Amino acid sequence: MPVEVFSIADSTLEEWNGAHTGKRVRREFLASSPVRICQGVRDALITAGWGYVGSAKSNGSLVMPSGVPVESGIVATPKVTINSGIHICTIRGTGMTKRLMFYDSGRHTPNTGIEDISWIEMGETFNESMDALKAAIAVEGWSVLTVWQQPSGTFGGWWHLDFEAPEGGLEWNDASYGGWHLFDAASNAVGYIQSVWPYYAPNSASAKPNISGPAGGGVLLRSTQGEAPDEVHLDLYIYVNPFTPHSATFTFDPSTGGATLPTFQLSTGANYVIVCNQFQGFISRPNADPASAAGQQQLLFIFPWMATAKGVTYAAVVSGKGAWRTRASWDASNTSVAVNGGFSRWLGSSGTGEPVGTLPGLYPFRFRYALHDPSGEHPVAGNAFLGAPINGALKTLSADLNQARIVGRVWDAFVMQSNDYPYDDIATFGGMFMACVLKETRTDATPCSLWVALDPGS
Amino acid sequence: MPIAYSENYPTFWYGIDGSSAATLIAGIHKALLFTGWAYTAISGGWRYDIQSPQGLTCRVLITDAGTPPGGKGRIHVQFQSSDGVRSGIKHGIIYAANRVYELTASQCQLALSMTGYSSDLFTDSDVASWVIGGIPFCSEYSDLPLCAEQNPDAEEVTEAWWASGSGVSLPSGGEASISLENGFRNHWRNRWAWDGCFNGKKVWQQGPDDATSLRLATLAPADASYGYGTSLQQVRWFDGTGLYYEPLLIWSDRAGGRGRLMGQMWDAVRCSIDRPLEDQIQTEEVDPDAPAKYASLTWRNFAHYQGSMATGNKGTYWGSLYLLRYVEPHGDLESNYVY
Repeated sequence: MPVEVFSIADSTLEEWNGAHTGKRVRREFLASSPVRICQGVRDALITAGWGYVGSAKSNGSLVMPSGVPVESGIVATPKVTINSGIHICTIRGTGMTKRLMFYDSGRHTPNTGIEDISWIEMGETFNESMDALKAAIAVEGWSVLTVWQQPSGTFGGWWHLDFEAPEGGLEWNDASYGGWHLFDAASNAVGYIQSVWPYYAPNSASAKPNISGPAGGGVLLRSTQGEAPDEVHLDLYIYVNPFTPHSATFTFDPSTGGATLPTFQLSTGANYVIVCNQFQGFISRPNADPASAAGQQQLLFIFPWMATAKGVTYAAVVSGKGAWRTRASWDASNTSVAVNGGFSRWLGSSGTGEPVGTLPGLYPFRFRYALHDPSGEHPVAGNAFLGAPINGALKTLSADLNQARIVGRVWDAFVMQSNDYPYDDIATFGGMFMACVLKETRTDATPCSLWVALDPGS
Repeated sequence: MPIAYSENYPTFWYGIDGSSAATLIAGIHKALLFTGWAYTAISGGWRYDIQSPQGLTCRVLITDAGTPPGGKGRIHVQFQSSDGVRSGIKHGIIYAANRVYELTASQCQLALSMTGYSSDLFTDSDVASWVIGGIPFCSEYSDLPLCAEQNPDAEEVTEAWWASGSGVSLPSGGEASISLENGFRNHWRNRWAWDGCFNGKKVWQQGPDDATSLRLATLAPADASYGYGTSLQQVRWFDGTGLYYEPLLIWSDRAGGRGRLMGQMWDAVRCSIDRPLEDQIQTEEVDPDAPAKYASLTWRNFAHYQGSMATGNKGTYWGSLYLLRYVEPHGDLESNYVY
């Protein structure tokens, strides 16, 4: 029938979710470290129904331009007791943080009473010393993968010792090196590379992280829609990137492929709240002023109910820092959209990108003011239509296609045509809903907010 | 809130002779008889007493208004409270040679217009060629159902009627026509020639205030970049087709007050994209509780405006308004309450 009605794309009903079940979850979690953020998001999403695909192991590569030292062959009598040797790296595994130091057993007697030093006896040959180093690293719980030498370069090619955590995931390692950002609890993270001196270099984060790529370890989760053979999914990598040591990193990978994988960070500090289900998530800081630096730490990812009957085979919207919490149309500079293909980022109305009016976002009833019922007591609620520009085809203003397009609906949500609710307000409208995600206040924008359903007790 | 279907089958009458007051009023009267409106002869025309499926009532007066000094002959269409105490404005409809009108009416709503005559085609400075109005579908209480539980003291809805036209009889006694882009025939709002009444509070406002006009709720991007004076893009499904949604009516029951969602047009549906005037679509409606009961419905577009191309838009986001003009029942259909 030719009508779209006020209805909610209900993630709990099979007629909407296509038998991909889940829960509506609200969680508040600590943000005292990148690991904590990752864990908070991971736990909430898995509870909500995201699939656990796998994990990345924390890994590092100890780079030694001149390799490892060998013993001098000198035998000194008496031997000198030393409190420090050749410090090759500082590392933590299953035990406490250790400084790994070589010593020359012909000349020196190590002071084994120093608890945080793991003494390594130099070998008579290079290989013996390297084996000793490998053994010392393994004692800390790490798995040594390979030792290899660059084919050429200074000193005939630098030596590398690659190692990784014995198991994947977030708990092993937050890879916060440098010593100034220790994670919060040994029980939480059982291993990390604190520092490697003087030759430390972690694996570089590749442009497209994969299950073995992120140096800090992480998890890969998946939201799935549709049925085989038309099943589609949105993957989310959650990991600690050693190059952004104060942040948790989130990278989205659509099953439609594409070269652009939107990546966002959430920084440590005040707690976060996540509202999510098996298809989407909204992460923000409760009660934080969205204009503040802390309040701009926000992330949404929507794998919406898709209007497949209207030609949408794939849609996803992800939006990050400062882009969406106070806007019903989401800031193009920090928002990416995938429609029937890979992700693209829109660049606003500068002439180089999409006109602003077609930005991804919500499409309420156009009204300058809050829209209420006749009593004036209650604002009107409408469909949470999700609009997005179309890849490529809309890049020119002259095209007839230069119009906003509805690709689907935000799950479990409705648009309230009012913005006079506090952030993170929870209210009962025939169910429990949270206004955690939007509060459009810009002049001339339609005042509205987006409310997302919560399960009782969530 | 799906489409609100009234209980009687709609009537669509075209080819109404608008060359004189007599032919125009007679043509309208004949059409309204078919849709079951109760009528009483009054001076210069007819008074109709109508009742919505919800039991709300009002009157409609259709009379010969003669020819004002310097103007053109016209009839008046005027809505009133059922006791006649509260009267809306008199919507002028010009009669003249070669004018042909059509009427779509249902149990408690009418739409009268000159066939094929919308803003982009109009060259006559004196519009006065259409009027649409009636009793809207209302929630039982003035609270929306979604929120009713929060306000047990909600006021019961006892009266609601509205009208939007292109010609108006001014309180000063003169006749005026609204300018282009100001009515439901070619716009989503009417600033100048509308009236509404809700629970005894009758409002007729003239002015440019966006908040106090009568309007049809219209989907559009929320973005601020275009402001309210500029056309936005039409909202479409991904494949380019329009969204069909409820024709919700917004007006304020207080002078100067901001509009509120007062009700919904009966037997009508909005489309989010611009469609040709008098375009017709057909749908099948099925009673989910009794699948054997279904009907073929024919809808006719009342609103059209080919908007400014300045921003590269084709048409505007105002969209179109389809009125139910014909129901062909199938199966054991007792009424066209079929969804």
